[in-house]
Amino acid sequence: MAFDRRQAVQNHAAQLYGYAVSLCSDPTLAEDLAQETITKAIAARRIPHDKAAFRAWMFRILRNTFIDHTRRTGRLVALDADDTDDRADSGTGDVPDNYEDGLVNALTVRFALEKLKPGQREIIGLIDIAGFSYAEAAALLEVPDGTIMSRISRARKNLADAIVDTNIVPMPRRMGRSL
Amino acid sequence: MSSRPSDWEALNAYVDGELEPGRAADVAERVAGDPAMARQAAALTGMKAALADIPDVPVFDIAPPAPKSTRQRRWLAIAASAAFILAASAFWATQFPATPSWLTAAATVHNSLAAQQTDAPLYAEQVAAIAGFQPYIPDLVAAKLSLAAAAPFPVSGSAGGLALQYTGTRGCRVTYVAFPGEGFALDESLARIETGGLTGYGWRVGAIGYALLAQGMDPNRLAVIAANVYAASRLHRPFDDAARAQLAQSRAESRACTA
Repeated sequence: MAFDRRQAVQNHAAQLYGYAVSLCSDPTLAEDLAQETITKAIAARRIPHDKAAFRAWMFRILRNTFIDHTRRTGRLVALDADDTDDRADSGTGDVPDNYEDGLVNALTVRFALEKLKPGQREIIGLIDIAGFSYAEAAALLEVPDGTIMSRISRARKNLADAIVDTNIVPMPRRMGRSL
Repeated sequence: MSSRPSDWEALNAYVDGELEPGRAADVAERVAGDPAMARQAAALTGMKAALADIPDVPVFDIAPPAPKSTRQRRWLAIAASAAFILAASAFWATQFPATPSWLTAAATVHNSLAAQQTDAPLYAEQVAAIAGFQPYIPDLVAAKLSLAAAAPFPVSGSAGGLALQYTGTRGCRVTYVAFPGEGFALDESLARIETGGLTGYGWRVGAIGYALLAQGMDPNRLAVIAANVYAASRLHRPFDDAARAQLAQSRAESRACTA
């Protein structure tokens, strides 16, 4: 069956946007980054025709587009410097004792995600938002698989801490009423 | 340093489905027998599910690109427009040595409007209704510029005037002024302007003078915007598809604003 480039782009558009938000924490800029990536992917003369390779290629375009943007605007972001201050967390972390599953919804998680360092937001963006495997993320970031395992566990520990630190509490559900 | 992952790392990898079968079975057994570990696993699963829910995904343009020959012609047209405007600027500089009062006022309003921007959407129809005359008001959405502020633009010798400011997502601010009255050293043709660190273009359509000014914007992009607004203002019509494509293309090809 022939590779349908537009369909492949369409299939990944939401994940590209989600990854872009995790990189820049700015929905407007994320939309621009994702659109620019999509435009490049649609217009490119040569593309990978393997589905997994095509997806990885698109995310690489987006990542490079973001890095170019930060250079142009003088706002460089150290995406690979996620753990310089957190090495003590490695291997010892878990979710805090006062962490409650009831606090976890899309809003609280997004709010907490913005508090993380750029590199930690990115690894969560790749694994949890875009659905990359450790091997795929390792290839994109050009690091060993084991580094991804360490980074994602450390990032989630910090995310759990940030969720506990947020003051956003979901409204209790009202029974028997619809809004 | 041991390469063996810690319990926390292993639990994360288990939730992600990244452990080898034997190791995954080992972790699963521990999760089943340890309420604290089960709680950790449930928390991780909940976080993953919440993150996978991507809110407010925009609609993206996935249309195929225009055929190459068309794109080339379009780009040549853009380049020709920009080149014409840039070349005309030298002529304008020699013909327009003194700074007229309206241009000084435009430079002032460019800075003052930056402080008046509102998050509430502004619509061209609303602005036109309060202008007191019928200027052409461009919709620059295709150039990724949104109408962000509006103010009166009093010019000596003019019966009223209107100043608008459009903002982009990469630090760009474009001020557009329109004021009735003939004279003001504006011609029916497009001419380049420089004043107070701003660059832009001015022209006249009948009895209404127009100017479009920006600071630190890519000169080619500014020239393309001006050329299209100029042409549309003469017809007093919205941009057609070709104009919108030019505006989008020039924006995509330009660098961010530096001011």
